[in-house]
Amino acid sequence: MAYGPLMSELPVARGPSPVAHDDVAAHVRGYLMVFGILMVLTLVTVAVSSLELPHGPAVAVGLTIATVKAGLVAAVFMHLRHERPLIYAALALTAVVVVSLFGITLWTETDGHAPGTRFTAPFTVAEPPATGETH
Amino acid sequence: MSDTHAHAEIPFTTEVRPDTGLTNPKLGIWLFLASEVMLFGSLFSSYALLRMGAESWPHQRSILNVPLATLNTIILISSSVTMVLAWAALKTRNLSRYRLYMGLTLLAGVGFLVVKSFEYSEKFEHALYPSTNNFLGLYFTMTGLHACHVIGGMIVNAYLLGPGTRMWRTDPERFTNRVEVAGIYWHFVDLVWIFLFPVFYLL
Repeated sequence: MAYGPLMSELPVARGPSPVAHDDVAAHVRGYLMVFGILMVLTLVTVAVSSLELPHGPAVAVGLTIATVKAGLVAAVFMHLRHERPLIYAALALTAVVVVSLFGITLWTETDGHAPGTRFTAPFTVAEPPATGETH
Repeated sequence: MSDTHAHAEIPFTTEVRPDTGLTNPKLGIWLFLASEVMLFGSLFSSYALLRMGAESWPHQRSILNVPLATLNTIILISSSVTMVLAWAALKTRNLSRYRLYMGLTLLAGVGFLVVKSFEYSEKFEHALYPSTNNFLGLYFTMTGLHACHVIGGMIVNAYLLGPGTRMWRTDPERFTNRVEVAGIYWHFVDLVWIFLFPVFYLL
């Protein structure tokens, strides 16, 4: 299968090449724009958290903003926006496994314990039966 | 050692491998990061399970230092930008600008660790240790593991800023690819912090 060059695969400029410089300059503008958005979102996250929202909405807002920020970093800074199918396939498999890991872990919360009682201290340990033998 | 082995070179460091469409270092770093996602994913799921299963949980914001963590978030995001600008400088064959941006990236890494050490020492002064409760155990484990990743990235970046720069004279394409791969790792470290920050400091 033949692949065309990605921006990251463009050759290093051998000399004063206006085309290469223009390409890179356009990408640099994109990086700076994303930097600005990330800064704004960081301040928004802190501002929203200071509102002391109920736990559910606070988690939803905080994690949504974090996911948007992470998506921008991955898509633009890590060049994932223009990447090869093999990378997408590897990351898709990773996502499936991570989501399954979270699902199985959190599933245990539904196995009969009342919410918030699984790790109630102190844990009780059954006493071993007295046998009268000494070792 | 045979002469063949002495001169063996890693294939596809600059040219794209036809069957994958990728250079080997690019594929390698993404597979490594996939394993890192699993590592941090397991810790985040542990946090969720312990917090959901707990009868009570500390008010995180009142234990941790939110202003310092916000400062660290700004430092780390800024370092991601300087890292990608360092790589872009190499694309335009501007080594002095590369050195400037890579130096700033390294400086930001040092700044992050200094702020983190202030945070840790503040906790220890108040007798708050990993053994104090589940929340602090998770906090020190996950932020400590993240700090180890920052240190690892800084070692690679320092090499690329110092002795590693020699490759620029002999093989600029390969050196530029090395910086890109190191950058992908560094952005991942930033990405992990983007989740650690709200989970531990804000929720």
